[in-house]
Amino acid sequence: MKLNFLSLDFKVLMLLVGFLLIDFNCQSQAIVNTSKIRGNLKIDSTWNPIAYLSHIKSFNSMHTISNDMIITQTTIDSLGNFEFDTNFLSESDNLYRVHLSKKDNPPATLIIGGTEENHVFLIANNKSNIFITNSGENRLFNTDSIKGYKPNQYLYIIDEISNAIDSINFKSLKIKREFIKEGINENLRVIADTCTNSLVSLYALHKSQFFNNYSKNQTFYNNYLDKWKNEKSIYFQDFKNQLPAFKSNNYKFILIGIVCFILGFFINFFTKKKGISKKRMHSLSIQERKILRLMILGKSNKEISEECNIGVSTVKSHVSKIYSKLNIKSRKDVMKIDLELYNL
Amino acid sequence: MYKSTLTIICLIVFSSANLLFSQENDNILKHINISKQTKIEKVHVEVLEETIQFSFSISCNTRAGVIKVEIYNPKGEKVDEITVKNLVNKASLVENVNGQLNKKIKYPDKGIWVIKIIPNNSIASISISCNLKNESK
Repeated sequence: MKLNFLSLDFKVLMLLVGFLLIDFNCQSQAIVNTSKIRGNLKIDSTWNPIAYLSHIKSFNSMHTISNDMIITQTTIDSLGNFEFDTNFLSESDNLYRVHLSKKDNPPATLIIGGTEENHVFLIANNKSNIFITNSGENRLFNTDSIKGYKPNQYLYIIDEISNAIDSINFKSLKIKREFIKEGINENLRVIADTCTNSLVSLYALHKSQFFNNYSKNQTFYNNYLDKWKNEKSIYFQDFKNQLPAFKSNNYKFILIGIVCFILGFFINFFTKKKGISKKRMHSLSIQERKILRLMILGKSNKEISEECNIGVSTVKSHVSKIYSKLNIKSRKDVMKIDLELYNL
Repeated sequence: MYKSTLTIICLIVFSSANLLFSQENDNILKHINISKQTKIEKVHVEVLEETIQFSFSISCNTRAGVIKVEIYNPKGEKVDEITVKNLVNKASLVENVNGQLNKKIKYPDKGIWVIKIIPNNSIASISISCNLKNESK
């Protein structure tokens, strides 16, 4: 009876473990299933009920539209719901753009600024769970449209800060205006320096007009690159390529390459002119070297045969061997050989 | 009698207020057709001391090739840009690619602003609409 009781307990325990495992499996499935870019948009009848997802490979391409940037599309249902599968996205954070187009416009349409702005940027990876929504009032997307993956909130804070430059009423002294602009850019650099998400950090730096600031603040950029030295993303590579220091380094490499090429050309030219390598010269026999010496001195085959006490045909045979060993074609080339250089 | 006097007073007040705080608008509209032979084109916009707002809208409809539109302030700094690429793929149907850049700048830098259109082997049409809101003295 006791044994039966124990075995019953064990069965219940096993069943519980089984349920837990199934539940855990379901939960992990649910986690996998929730990793999506989803949304609910209130759109009027002028918009096509299709949402497009584009991969933005560089911050400089944020204002670029092309058919090949669109990686996937999805239909927005009558209630405004839509979702993109994110399984095929990169494991690391990348920049994406969700856009809609008007009914009379082609799918690849980008409207920047104004009340009809048709897109929103977001940072995502293949595990991020993002929800896009809108208020349906004046604009298609609002500044707080993206919910779920935290780096996106910082992305919009950065946007709001940088857009302030164009919207602040600067009806004041020009110097004051420059001062405010510089203050905004300095704040963006502080965000870039303190942010833990590499892509958000780089975005802040991109918005801070680092081009104009690099020469004044090189230490900051060197320290920044040192901090993110393990970051191998396409965005960091692109950023490095834009920095004047890296550009000049590339320029230096090109210059060194050109100098080496010219040097190589001249070395090749002079060695050719001076003739033959010592290794080739050593491949000649004593008799061949003697005949070569006489050839250099301008002696004819007959004169060489008389001096060496050999027949003209033998001289001819030696000459052809010399030509082949030294890789030369005529007596003219022989005349160019320096006697002293080869101790002939 | 009283009613007509009040109307006249109101009219005088409103017209003088309008004269005092009126704003003048300058509009520039330009349409450019781009063919494969078209080279870089520049549109110059003069922003005056009294300009309180400079807004522009650039629409680009590209049938083939790449069109890049860059906007430079009088200091020569790039303020914004848009690139519209239509890299025609034989496998897909030829479809236009559209881009539109709208921007509003309050109290812009005084001087010549440049809208630079850089085509690359493209067939496109571009519409530029600029509005300068000037404060009348």
